[in-house]
Amino acid sequence: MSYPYLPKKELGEVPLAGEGATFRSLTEAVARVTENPAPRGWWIAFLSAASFLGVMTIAIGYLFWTGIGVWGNNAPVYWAWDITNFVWWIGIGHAGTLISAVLFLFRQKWRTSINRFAEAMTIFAVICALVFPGIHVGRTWYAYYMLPLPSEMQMWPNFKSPLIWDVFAVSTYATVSTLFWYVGLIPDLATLRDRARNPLRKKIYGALALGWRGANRHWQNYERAYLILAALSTPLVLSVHSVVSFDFATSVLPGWHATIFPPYFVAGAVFSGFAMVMTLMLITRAVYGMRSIVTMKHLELMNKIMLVTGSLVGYAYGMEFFIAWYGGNDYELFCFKNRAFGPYAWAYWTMISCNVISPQLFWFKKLRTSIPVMFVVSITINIGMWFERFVIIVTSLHRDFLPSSWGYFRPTLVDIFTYCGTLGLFFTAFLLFLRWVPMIAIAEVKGVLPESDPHYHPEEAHADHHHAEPVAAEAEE
Amino acid sequence: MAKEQLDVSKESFNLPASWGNVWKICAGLGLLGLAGAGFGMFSDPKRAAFSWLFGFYVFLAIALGSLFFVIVQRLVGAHWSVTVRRTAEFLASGLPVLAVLWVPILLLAPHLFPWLGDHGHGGGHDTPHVVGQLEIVPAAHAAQHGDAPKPADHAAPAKAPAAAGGHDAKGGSHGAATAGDAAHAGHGALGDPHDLEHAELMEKKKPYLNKSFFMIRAVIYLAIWSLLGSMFFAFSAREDREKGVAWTLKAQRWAPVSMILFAFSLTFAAFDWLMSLDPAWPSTIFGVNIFSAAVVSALATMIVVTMALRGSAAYAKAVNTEHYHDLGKLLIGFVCFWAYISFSQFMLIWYAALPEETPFFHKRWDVSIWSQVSLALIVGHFVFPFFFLLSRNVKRNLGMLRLGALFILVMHVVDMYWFVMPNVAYNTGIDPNGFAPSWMDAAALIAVGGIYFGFVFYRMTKYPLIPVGDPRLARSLAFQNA
Repeated sequence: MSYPYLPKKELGEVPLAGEGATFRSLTEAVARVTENPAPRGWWIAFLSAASFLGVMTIAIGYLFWTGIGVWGNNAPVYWAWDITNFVWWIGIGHAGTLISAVLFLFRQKWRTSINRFAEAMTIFAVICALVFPGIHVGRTWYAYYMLPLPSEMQMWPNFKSPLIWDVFAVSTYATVSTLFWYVGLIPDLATLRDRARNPLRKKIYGALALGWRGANRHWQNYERAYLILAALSTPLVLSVHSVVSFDFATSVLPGWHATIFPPYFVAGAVFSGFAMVMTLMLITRAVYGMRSIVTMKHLELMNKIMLVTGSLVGYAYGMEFFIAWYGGNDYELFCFKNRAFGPYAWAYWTMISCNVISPQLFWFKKLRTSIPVMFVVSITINIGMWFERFVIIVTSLHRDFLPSSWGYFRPTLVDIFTYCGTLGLFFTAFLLFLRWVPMIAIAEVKGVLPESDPHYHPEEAHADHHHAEPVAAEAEE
Repeated sequence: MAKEQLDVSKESFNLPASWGNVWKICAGLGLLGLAGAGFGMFSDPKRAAFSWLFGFYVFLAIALGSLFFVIVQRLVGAHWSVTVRRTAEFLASGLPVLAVLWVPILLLAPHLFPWLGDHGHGGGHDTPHVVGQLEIVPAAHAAQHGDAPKPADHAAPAKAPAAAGGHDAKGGSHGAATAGDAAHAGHGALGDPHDLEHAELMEKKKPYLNKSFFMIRAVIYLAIWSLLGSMFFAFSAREDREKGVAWTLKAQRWAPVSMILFAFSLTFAAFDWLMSLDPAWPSTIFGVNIFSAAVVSALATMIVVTMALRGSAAYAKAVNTEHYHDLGKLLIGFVCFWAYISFSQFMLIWYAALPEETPFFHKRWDVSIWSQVSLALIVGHFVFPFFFLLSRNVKRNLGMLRLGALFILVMHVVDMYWFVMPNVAYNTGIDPNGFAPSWMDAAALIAVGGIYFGFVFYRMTKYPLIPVGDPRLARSLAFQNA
């Protein structure tokens, strides 16, 4: 019987790796980025990102010096951009683990070309997110109170508060994501070590590769560890954003208290995470010439996931609105009417058009395989998901139960600088990653090339078995 | 790895001869159950209505979960599942039968849904005698357990109904008999400010909760399901004969739209037929909750049914350990999903403790022995299956996996019972103790199950048990878990 796993063209299936991708060309394409001097574009991007990071440092320093009053938060809007940014960044940090853990368990082999990239992004996004709970407590030097450290003052965190669950959920997530990312990196770090000519470089990558030799036993342990970490991370993907949603949903505030919040937040997080991966991937693959590794097939599949998760988010919006009416609670209904037609209607409709309407373009194959369209939509989704958190947080707060205390939130310059500053932090870390770490999981992508399957015997190769090695190894660029 | 390759063209994948009459047995049992349930509907229509809704939803969940399985496999173009997909197609193709079996719900709806009853217009509240009886419920329960402080609340006919909090915090719920109701029952239920509030609430919901719209929606859901179940079956069955890829491509093209129709119809049907049993109670996650139960039950059913058919040697090779391993993984995954969704709903309602939301769990915890049923669900529908199915060895041991799946199916029945039956006491007042299983529950379960599976097994006599013409069949046969 012939090898059944070759893509069937008549079913619209295409190979996972692009034309001409071979073991050798893969290693070359990925490792070269870390070996050659950084291109000028990298330096320009890095310096601008670093200057944004500087702005963040100044904004936060000013905040520490002066106090939380430098932000626009004030009665009745006590939570505003700080928490919006926190939830937005945490959400972006979901794609990495979803791709590396959930898609791994579902045997979605296309994930191999994007997982390294997405996992790195996850870690940096979580770092950006962690800035906000750290600084919004006001007296930052007491931030360690969030941890349940034994204290002779008998001061314990309130374990019944979802805010403390958040601390546990996010720190667990950060730890496991980092471990997962690092474990996946080991074989590729060894590749960099073996290719290194400079002794210092060899030492550093050698130490990081933990003595990897590529032995059969190493691979066996590696695969086992990867599977266990994937199984551990999968519930984490769901739990982190569920716990974040508890921050709101455990309250009795109209617009915050909805039982659908946990899965709805998870869907939204995956949605925004994929959008961010897409934005960055489109730029990176063009700049570094990775088009044969991250093919149109990958991009199209990511767009489909965005369509699914965007529609799930739309379903949740619909359920919230329907139950707000069906529940017959006047305050709840007022809150939703106020979102759609009140002073923040502009934010609400930005959210709806970016999150629910724009991904619907991906129903059409022509549009979901068009790079300009997907680039614009991925940015639109990120804007929309930021607005979703803003709408949930601010519109539920700004019209309090007492009309006399109604207000309208306006951000200050410090709010804006802090937010843009975290983008600087994110991109600084991300550019350093591109420069020094193999941005694609070389070993894993090799694993999905057809020739890595021991049963792979293409029909045409039978005749000429000894020359089965493709000759197009150097075809890349 | 020396697995024998199966030559599909030479083997027969028809139902083993010993199974040829199983559909008759099922149908016979079903008719017997139907006779019993029908007798119940005449002798005690109030109680029979709930029994039928329960029996109906047990199998509706299985059929809808199977429909989801079929659509999702088509949507993603999966190949591992091709051989077992046919079983799900058989199960989903029974949806038109369930559409017919829905008719008793239509006829008995006024007994089920307080907002639909004759007494329900405007007021939407129970008749006074029911209120009086309901009052007994928590008190009797408390007394039974020697729980001293609580009955005291009830003993004193509360001056302010709203203050009857704590144990009896039923707030704005329909049928929420606060301690005051008993006292007021004598001078008309509508004299109570609480009832006025409730009547106002029902009035607000009238644009959705009314007879004609309810029927229109039901017809739409049942039409969508019957259509989708038959359509995806037909795509696959046509391919058995015609080979090629045309029908696979067609199924893949229809899958996305079908998924959207499926999601909304399942959600709103759950709102209409289960959530509105307590018309005052809203939960945004309820559709997802029923969805999770449906998928769990469908996967368990697929495991049990495919194992039963392993008498045929060719079939046993086509649906082998590798496929069971994957079905087992999905099963444990969705058991966790069910727990996640159920927990989210419970935790958020418990934490916020809003009076319009807590009655749902109040009925399932503070009344009679419902707390034990709830605990049984936590242990039996999550804790035990989770640890049982965790091991790779169990998922690859067919006997063990079947045991787990059977157990989950039993818990699925309990789950549906848990959704429907706590409302009996509140909506009808015929079970003042709050927990009174009836022989009609069993009759309805056998009636719906027998007729539904009779149809499914009858179809199995007519079509191959695996999609022999599927272009991805070879991959499914060669499939191995790494």
